[in-house]
Formats: sequence, structure tokens, C-alpha cells
Amino acid sequence: MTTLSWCIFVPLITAGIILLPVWPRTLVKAISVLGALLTLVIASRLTSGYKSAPVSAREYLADVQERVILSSDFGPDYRNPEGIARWKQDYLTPRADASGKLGLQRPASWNELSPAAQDAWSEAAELQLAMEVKQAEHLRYIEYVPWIPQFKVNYFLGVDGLSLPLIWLTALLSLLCLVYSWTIDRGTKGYYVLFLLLETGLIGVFCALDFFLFYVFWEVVLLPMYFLIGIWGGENRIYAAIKFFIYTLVGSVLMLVVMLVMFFVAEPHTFNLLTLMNVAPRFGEISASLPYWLFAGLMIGFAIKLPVFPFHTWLPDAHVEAPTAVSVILAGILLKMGGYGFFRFSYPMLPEPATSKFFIAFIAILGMINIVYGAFCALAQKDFKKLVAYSSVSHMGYVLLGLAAVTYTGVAGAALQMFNHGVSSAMLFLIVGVIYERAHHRDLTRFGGIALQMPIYTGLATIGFFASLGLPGLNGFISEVLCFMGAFDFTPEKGSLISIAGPGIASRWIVYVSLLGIVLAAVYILWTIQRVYLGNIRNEAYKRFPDLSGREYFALVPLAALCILLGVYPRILTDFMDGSLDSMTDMVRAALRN
Amino acid sequence: MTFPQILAAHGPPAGDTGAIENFASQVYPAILESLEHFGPEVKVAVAAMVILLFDLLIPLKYSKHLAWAAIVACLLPLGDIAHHYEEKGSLFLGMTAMDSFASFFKAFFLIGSIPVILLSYISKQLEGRRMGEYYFILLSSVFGGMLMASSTHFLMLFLSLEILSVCSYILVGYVRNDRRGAEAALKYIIYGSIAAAIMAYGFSLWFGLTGSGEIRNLARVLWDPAFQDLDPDALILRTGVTVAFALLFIFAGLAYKMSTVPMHFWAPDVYDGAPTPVTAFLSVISKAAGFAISLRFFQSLASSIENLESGNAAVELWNAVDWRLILIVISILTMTLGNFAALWQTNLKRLMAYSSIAHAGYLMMGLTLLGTAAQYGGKETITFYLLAYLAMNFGAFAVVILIENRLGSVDVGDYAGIGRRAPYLAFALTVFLFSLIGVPPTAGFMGKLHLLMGVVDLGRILESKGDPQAWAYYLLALAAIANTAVSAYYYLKVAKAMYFERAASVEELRSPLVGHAVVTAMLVLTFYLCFYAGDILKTTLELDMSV
Repeated sequence: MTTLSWCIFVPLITAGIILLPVWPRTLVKAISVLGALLTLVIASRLTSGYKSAPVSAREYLADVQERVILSSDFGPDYRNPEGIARWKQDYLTPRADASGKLGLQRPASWNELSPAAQDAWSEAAELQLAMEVKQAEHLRYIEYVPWIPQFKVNYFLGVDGLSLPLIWLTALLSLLCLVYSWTIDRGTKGYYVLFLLLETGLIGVFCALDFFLFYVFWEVVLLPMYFLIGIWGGENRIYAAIKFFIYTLVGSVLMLVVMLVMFFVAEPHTFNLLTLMNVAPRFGEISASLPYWLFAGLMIGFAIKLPVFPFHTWLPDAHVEAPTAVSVILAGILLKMGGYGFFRFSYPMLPEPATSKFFIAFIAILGMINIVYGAFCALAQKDFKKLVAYSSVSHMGYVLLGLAAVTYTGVAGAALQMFNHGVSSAMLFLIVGVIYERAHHRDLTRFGGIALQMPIYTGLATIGFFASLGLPGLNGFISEVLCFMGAFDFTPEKGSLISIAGPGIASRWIVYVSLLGIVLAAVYILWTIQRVYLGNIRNEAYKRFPDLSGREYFALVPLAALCILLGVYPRILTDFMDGSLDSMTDMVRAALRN
Repeated sequence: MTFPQILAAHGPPAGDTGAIENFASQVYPAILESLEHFGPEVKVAVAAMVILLFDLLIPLKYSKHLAWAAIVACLLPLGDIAHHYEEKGSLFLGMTAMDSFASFFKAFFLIGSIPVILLSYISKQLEGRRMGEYYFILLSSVFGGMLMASSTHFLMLFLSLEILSVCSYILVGYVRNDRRGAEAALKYIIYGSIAAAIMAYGFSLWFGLTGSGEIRNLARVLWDPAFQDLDPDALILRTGVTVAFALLFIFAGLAYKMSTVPMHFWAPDVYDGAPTPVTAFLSVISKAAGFAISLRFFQSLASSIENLESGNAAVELWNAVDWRLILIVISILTMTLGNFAALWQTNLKRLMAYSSIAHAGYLMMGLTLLGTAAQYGGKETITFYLLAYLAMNFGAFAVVILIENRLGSVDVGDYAGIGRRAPYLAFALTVFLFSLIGVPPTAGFMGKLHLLMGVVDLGRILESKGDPQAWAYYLLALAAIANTAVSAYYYLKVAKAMYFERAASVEELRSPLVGHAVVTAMLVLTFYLCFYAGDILKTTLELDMSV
């Protein structure tokens, strides 16, 4: 049961169960919550067992390769275990010259081989290239099943230190959201089914190691979101839903074209991510501009999701109009899909453009704009939810800053920021939801003195706000500090590509301007706390607001606990992520030496 | 005694020029032998006539149950087709071919007509009429389609196209008292006749150029040995213009059937005015027949160009006529026009008409891959996409018909609140709409992906050879994905109406079991083609065109 496939599909199975017309509404919700709880349990067991999991991708794929070679018809002297090594020696010769073919050379007897043998060679070659990648050591819980042989698509799953925390966070946030949504009484079954479908897609995105499978799960996320926003959302929901859908679809189809081009340029043709990590860095030898176009295409696709200025305009609308729980999952996890794409796809596969001066500058400056512009926009808002939405935009800018630095610290900070932002912004949206349910408006100018009436709520809200602000002692501080340290590091040769000369762009002013974001965050967050919680109660009706109910406690307290825990002892997370992230950074920086 | 025996006994009549001799010794035996392999078509034709005659004997209220007889008529020839699947050859003295490509499409048309028949059975628009005639004409058009899939001669191409077209004209105008139907039928007849006439003229030009009506000789446009002595450049210059025109004229006829630009103008009016089951038939079966014939035509063109002996003056001619580039341009125009025009539609049938024009544009991407070094060629990509298209279009039309039966309307505004009133139908329609957009995990996504893979691959191959036409293929791929994103808007308009808007009444919409069965079957097919794509891909890859 403790496998990735179960983790992905338990929500889907739960959705199927509640679709049966036999359950009353309460049971529908209860079964969904149980399903989400089960997913969280599986995710927790996967996480705790990760470091001690025995089989890495390297060994697993070696086994698969052995089976492929043994079952292929290359001749009787290869069909035994010793023959495997001999077969690899005879047939898997590395490319010796720059003949335009990447990876492994086709054997001399290619034309005499039967189609089945050619397919077997392609698969063995693909697996060989996949095994050689350093990242393969860090991937665990592998599953590899051929899906569509004609397209060379496999059902290939695996997780490492980067994706497993995000999967765990997805499971946690889904559980909290499903409990929080207990009061949805219009179309409950549909709501819960769509939410569970969404959870399946999200976990699948983080597990997939086959580019095609990743794309399928990425798109599967779109459909439930469209309906969740459009049916249960606020006044302007139809506009927000269709804007979200088309915006994200454009990014996705661009990613599709990049995926197809990479498939056809790679030799052997493959969607396998690890193989592409091995082969794609050498695309520059075929055509100097090809990696740059591919990187740009992928960047636009992920930038729309992250969201990066100027592709962020869907976010305020979608967040404001979506119901609270949907906003939470949108801010908490969907935005991380964009970041995850950069970490897993753009940077390792295309390190040359990633470390080129143009793209370093581009991404760093966009990160800076995100941080500062997002903060200024948040400052100007009167709608509480829109303020939180723009603060999300601002905080995701730190991820870009840390990434563009391509140092151990910066990348660690960026990955940590993704997780921490998932926790803190989820909290913020829940906080907005709590007050919206009581006051039925989100206008900041009309609030005031909530602390007098709802002290416990204010306490938890303050934890969330200060975590978002980056107060030392809470999780936001750690990740922001790491991002800035990483971006600022001017050790020559090994430092941040933003700050050092030579391979880097030596533009430390980008970091200086981004520091402004911290001040601005403090401004708008403190101002918001003052407007909403402090001061006198303006409206008599507010004096009758009840403090938090059971389900709201259930949703807020775990997140607050996480904020404090990760602020005080972030090592539980950083130790977990370090190995995978460092090896990824090494892979990317290796391109600088060439 | 047989005819040859009579001839042998009494000798040819006076004044005979040898034609009768020729007929007896060559044509007649060939026809007899070909008829052995013509079983499926004969079965369909005979069954159609039986249904027509039987309708005269039964009372009006039982007439609609002839649908079941029609379904039996569709299933009957399948055994024969499976039996002859692996055979290859030419029938009727080169008029038609017998190969797995033709058999596949024959099976496609037969099985694809079953949803049409079932939908006609339950449709209120066709209620209370004598249906024997209807099923007779429907089966006749399937007969025409089967001929189209196997034709390898201009005459047979024209004949089969006309059989399908004329039957379609009648079906469109079947509901006699309906003014819109009559107007649609009239427009269809006039448009179709003009298109067929243009195509016939193209055929005649081509016959003059090649001296042969068979499509395997398509490339031999300078066949007459007497031409070989003339100045080659001048000859190519003059012939090139004629070839281009002939190609354009023939393409006009094909484009009319496929409903691509520039012969797409009939589609919205005809789809709108016809009874909705007929619209479903036109959008899938008729279009598939058009693509089958185009596939064979362009594949033969590509093969015959390759098979030209070097030194033949025609080789230089064909290097100059860039028919693939023209197809690329037309494909881009078609998908763009179809998608952008659909954005404004509120009538669901017109919306589906423009959507089918757009999908014809996507399908044409496959035609541009014929005869190239692409790994995924035109044949497999188009056939797979047609299968996916069958699933999603029939599914969508099934839901439209079921709702039209109850609400009497196909306006998108009237679909408000269907999500509550008919949840299963609304869910199914949403899946079909997402499939039409091309979002995983549906058949439409797989089909589009397949086509895009072929195009991108060819672009890569051409770019690595330094061929400037690579950019045309990249542009085609980008146009396809841009259009996919644009199309999301109008397909989602329907989903939006069904789920996001509140209806005036919340009373449940009940539909007959047959209707639900069709919807479910198409739903299953949609998901099957995505998750088990490998099985289908194997079949489509192995299809064989003998010409």
C-alpha cells in the first residue's frame, strides 16, 4: 500500500466511491475526509521511509534493463545473466564523435535487426542513459510500467527530496481543505469529487518522471479547478474560471510542443526524464539556439503557473473568486507546480540556457519584479483576499531569485520557500475565509478590532501573517534568508550567478532591490493586521462574531504548528531535501565549465 | 450457358469492332471474379433494398423499428470484411482496390452508422415518419462511403462521391415540412453539385495529362512519348500550370467533402438545417469518407512521384509543384477559420459545424505528412484521429439530440442548469467537450498529440537537412496549439451554461435507455482510446494501401 501509485489514486478511488448514489450528504463528506486522511498517512509513511528506502532509480532501472535485454532476441549467448554485461559492451557504445547523434550510438547491425530488437535496443539504451544520471541515486519508490509502446511512453513514477515534501504538503492541505469545506451544502458531492480528482492530479504531477505522464497529470489539474472556481466561486467567478483555464492551457500546450521537440531530437527518442537529463544538455551541439528556444518555451509554460510577472494576471481573479478551500489549494500547491517544473525540468535538462547570462538576468529580474511589484500591488489593495493573492505573487518571486543564483544555498532556499509559502499562504487564505464567513465581505476599510472579539483567531492569524512576513522564529524567515544568502553569495567561481562576474552577471543591485520586498511585506502585513485586528470595533455586528469553530481549528492549528516548527528547527526539511537539491545544482553548474 | 459460351458458339455479331470480344474475354470474367470480393457492399445494398420494400408492408407505427433491421444490415458484412482483411489486390479492372486500408474504413463506416441509426431511432425530429426510406438512403450512403474508401480510379472516385453526396442531400432534406431543412438541402445540393462538377473537370484535365484514369499513375503527367522531343523547360512550364489547376480542381471536390477551406461554406447552414442525427452522420461518416479518399489520393500521388523513372521530364515538374506547402497553408486557414467563427455561435449545431471545420483543419495536418520521412505518417495519424473524432462527436451529438428531444432547442442559452437536470448527460457532454478541446485524459488529446508528433518530427528532420520548409511545419504545429487554446473558450461556453448558470426549472430530464447506451458507449470509447491507445495504434500503423 505504501507506494506512489496508491498515493496518487486513493483520492480518485474515493471520488469513485462517493459518486455512488447511495450515500447521504454527511457520509459523502466523511468518506472523502477518510480518503484524504488515508492519502496523508501513505504520504507520511513514504516520507519517513524515504531515507531508508532500499531501491534507488539506478538499481530499479538496471533491473528493468536486464529484463529487457534478456527477453529480446539478440542471440542465445546474451540470454543469461553474464551475457548482460557482454551485450552492453557490444551494443551500448557511447557516442564517440560529434556526428549529430546524441547519447548512444546505434549498433552497426541496426538495419539487420528486427523491429522488436530495435525497440529493445532503444529501450535498453534509454535506460542506460537514465541510470547514468546522478539524480537517479536520489529517486526512490520507483514504478516503471510500459504504457504506450508506439509513443515510447511509460508509466514512470519516482520521488526524491524535492518532490516528497510537496506530495506530503498536498496530502495535508487537501485533508485540511476537505474538512474546512464541511459547510458546503450546494452540490456537495460534485465539490468533493472534483476536489479529490484535483488531489490525484496534483500528487501525480509531483511523482511523474515521464514527461508525457507529467503533462497528462498537469492537464488533469485544470479540469476540476475550472469547475470548482466556476460553480462555487464568488460573483465574478465565470470570468475568473475561463481566464484561469485558457491562460494555463496556453502555457500547457507550449510545454507540449517543447516536449515533442525534445522527444524527437533526443536519440533514442524518449520521454523518460532521466534520459533527457542526460541527453538534453548536449542539444547545443546539434543547433546552438535550440536549447534556448526550448528553455524559453518551458519557461513560459511554468511562468504562467508560478506565476511570474507579466503572466500573473490570472492569479488575483482566480484567487479572489474561488471558494476558500480552493484558494488554499491553489496558492498552496498549484503555484508550486510551476516552481517544481523549473526545478525538475527546465534547469536539469537545459543547464546551458539556465546558466547563460541572458536567462540568469531575465529570471533574476523577473523574480525581483515579482517581489517588489507584487508587494506594491498588495499594498494598494482594499480587498483582503486580493491582498493575500498579491502577497503570493510576491513570495513566489523569492523562489525565482534563489533559483537564478544556482548555488546550494539559493536552490535550497528556493525549494524551502516553495514549501513554506505553501504552508503560510494556505494559512492566510484560511484566515481570510474565516472572517469572510462571519462578515460576508472582505473590505479592509470596514474591519477593525477583531482581536477584541476573536482572540484565538487573531493569535493564529498573527502567526500566519508573521510567517509570511519573514519573522525570525517562523518558517518564512529561514527560506527568505536562504534565498537572499544564496543570491548574494559573491564567492568567486562558486558564488551566485547573480552576484559574481565571469560566469555570472554581477548585478547585485537586483538583490538589493529585492530586499525592498521584505520591508514592503512588513508594511502591508502590519498595516493589514492593524486594519483588521487592532483598534476599536467599528461595527456593532462584529461584536457577535463567534471565535473559531472545530473545523476551523482543525484547519489552522496544524499549519500554525508547522510554521513554528519549521521556523525553529528547519533541519527536518532541509536535511531531507539537501541531497537531491545539491545534486541538481551540481548538474546545472556543470554546464558552466564547458 | 454463360455469355462467353454463347459468344464462342455463335461468334461475334456483324459490325463488331472487337469490343464485344474484349468484353467477353476480359471485362466480364474480371467483373465476375471481383464480385466475389464485393460481398460486403452487395450485402449492404441488398439489405437496404429489403428494408425499403419491407416498409411498404408494415403499418406506420412499426416503421421506426426498422432501425434494428438497419443495424443488422450494418453488422452483417463485418464477417466478410474480417475474412478478406489481409488480402490485397485490385478489383473491377483497377476501379477499386482491396486492401486493409479499405477494409478498415468499410468497417469504420458500418460500425459508425450504428450510433446514427440508434440516434435516428430516438430522435423526435424524425418521429412519425416512414423510416424505411430513411434507412435505405442511409445504408446507400454507407455503400457509397465503402466504395469511396476503396476507389482507385477517377471514375469510381467521382461515382462513389456522388452516391454519398446525393444520399446526403436527401437525408438533409428528409423532414419535408421543415423550411430550414429544405433550405439546407437546397444549399447542399447546389454547392455539392458545383463542387463535384469542378472536381470532374479536374479529373478530365488530369486524364488528359496522364492518359490514365487510375490514381497510381497520377504523377505521369507527361506520358505521351511524343512530348519527350519538345523543349523540356517550356513543356514543364506549360504543363505545370495545367497540373496545378487540375490539382486545385480535384482538391476542391475533396475539400468540399472534408469541409475544409475554401469549400467549407455549406457546412454551417447544412448542419444547422438537417435533422440532428443526419448532422451527426455528416460530421463523422461523411467527413471520414472524404479523408479516406483524400488519403488514398495524396498517398498515391506521393508514391507515384517516387516511382517515376529518373530522366522522365515529369520529375522536374513535381519538384516544382509544392503540394504539401499548399496543404499546410490550407490546414492553418481551416483550423483558424473554424475556431474563430465558432467563438460567436450560440446555436449548438452551428457551433459543432464550425468545430468540425476546425477539426478538418487538424486532420489535414496528417495529409501534409504523406510520402515524407516522418516517423508518424499521414495514414496512421488521420485514422487514429478519425476514431477519436467518431467517439467525441457522436457522443456530443447524442447528448444534444437527447436534450433537444426534451427541450426542443439547441441554443446554448437553453442549456442552463442541465448539470442539475440531467447530471449524467451533462457529465458526458463535458467529457466530450474536453476531448474536442484536446485535454488529457481523453481520446481527442491522444489524436491531437499523434498529429503534432508527426508534424514536429517532420519539422526536425527537415531542419536537420537544412530544408527551409521545416519552418512551415513548425508554424503548423504552433497554429494547431494556438487553435487548441482558442477553441477552449467556445467549448467551455457549453459546460459553463450547463453548470454555472441556474435554470428556470429544476425538473429532471429523462431520456430513453437507447440514448444513454449510445452516450455510454462513446464515453467508454473516448477513455479507451486514451488509456489503451497502444492497441489501436498497432492496427492503424499496419494499415496497408495497395496502390
